[in-house]
Amino acid sequence: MRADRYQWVSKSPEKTRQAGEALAAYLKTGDCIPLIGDMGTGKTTFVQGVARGLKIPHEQPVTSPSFTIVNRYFGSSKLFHIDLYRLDGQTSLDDLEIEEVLTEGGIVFIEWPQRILPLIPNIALTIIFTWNMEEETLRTLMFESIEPRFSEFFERLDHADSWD
Amino acid sequence: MLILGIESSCDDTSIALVEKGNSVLSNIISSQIKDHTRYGGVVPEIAARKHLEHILPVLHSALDKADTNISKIDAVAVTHKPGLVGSLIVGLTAAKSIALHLKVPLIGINHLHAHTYAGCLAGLPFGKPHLSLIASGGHTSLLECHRHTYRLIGRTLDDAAGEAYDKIAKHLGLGYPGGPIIDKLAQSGNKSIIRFPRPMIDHDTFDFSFSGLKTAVMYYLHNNPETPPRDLAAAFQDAVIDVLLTKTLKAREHLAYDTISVVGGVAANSALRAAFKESADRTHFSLFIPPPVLCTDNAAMVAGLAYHLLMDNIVSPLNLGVTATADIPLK
Repeated sequence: MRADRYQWVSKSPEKTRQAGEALAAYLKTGDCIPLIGDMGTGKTTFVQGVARGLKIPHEQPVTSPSFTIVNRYFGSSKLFHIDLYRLDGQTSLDDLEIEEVLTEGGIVFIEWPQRILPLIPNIALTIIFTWNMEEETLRTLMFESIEPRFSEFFERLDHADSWD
Repeated sequence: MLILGIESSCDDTSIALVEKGNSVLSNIISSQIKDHTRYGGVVPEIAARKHLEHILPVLHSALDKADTNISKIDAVAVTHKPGLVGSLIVGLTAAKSIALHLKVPLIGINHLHAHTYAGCLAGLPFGKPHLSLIASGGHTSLLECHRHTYRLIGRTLDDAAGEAYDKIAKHLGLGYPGGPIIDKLAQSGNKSIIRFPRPMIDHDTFDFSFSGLKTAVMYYLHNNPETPPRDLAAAFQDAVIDVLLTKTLKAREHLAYDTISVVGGVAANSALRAAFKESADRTHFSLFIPPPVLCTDNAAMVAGLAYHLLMDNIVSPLNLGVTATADIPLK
């Protein structure tokens, strides 16, 4: 099947959060969403929005998982936020028990996923974040999926500028 | 009263023996062990498996250093939250086994409470109401601390302060961990080349945010690639310290505390220590910052705090579990 690609420009961190919040409605248990992009391009900000959409209580703020590797949140679904940034080539993935997390029955967002992409059984959607060097607040998000269920989400993003 | 403390919430496996809550007989931390041959090439690791490899050698080392025997201990204390679950389980399982075998009490300790107790190891009387800033690679929180009551009044909403240091250092190609490297580099840098944003500094909560500062530094470097790293380091560090100090002082004023402790790995930063000391001298509050070895993760703070819990008959059941997140009530 042909992969659907959709490109969207976020004008602020809050718009990035709103996009994540909107995406939450189209996600289901077991989905793995690799987030690819440089430091500071809005990956964790996006997941903060997803958490809002999944009704994760405010008492559990979504913070960077770079230090803890895996953060777990419990809302209308389980949300796992993984960040492999800190890993060097020496770390064995077996030691991290990442495969257990992938199959634990939650929605899994993975930052710096390059090393474990081959292990992921079911990539629902990939999001690639890039800078806009001319305008400091702009970020380009490229969504890619072979599953048709996200097409409505992409249509909603077309109207993101008019969101509150 | 001799307490064995175990800390394994993140990278480091640490075991300490502490007498009466303040006399540290030994405080062994796996990453500090220089004799790699004995331990098979120890590198700080995130994995539970590494804790499993380290825990017995570290235990023997701690007992040797304290010149004692495990049968002499009166209780076992262990960090059981928050942290990496797999890592916490290794420490907790070891602690339970020792407690069960020796028939001594088990005392589960909250990692953040233990960090604030490092202030007590630096002279702060236990139970004296004070405000504690915990800044490390994994946490940036402001806590009100009373005897056994803690209240979280502020925390980072994105990156921890130490994490911002690590990420900037990695971006500048300076290596890991970023804190000591940037601290050293900043000493010869000019912090006034640019004034980086101070995220949330004027916000009326005591929460922190460091993600935007990280991004601002990266943009500045992109647009001004010739900037000497030492100047960037100095200007970045100035912003971090300004936020940490300003927020802490604001909380102190708002909540009327006359005593502050600064703990966690970032409290080992020389410029942060100097800034707080200068402020304490100028505005007259009592300040307690532990020596660097007690700022970063260590088991002495765990065993030390446990003494006071034990004195007040607060012990844990042998079916104690681990929790990834802290459950300090917010507001």
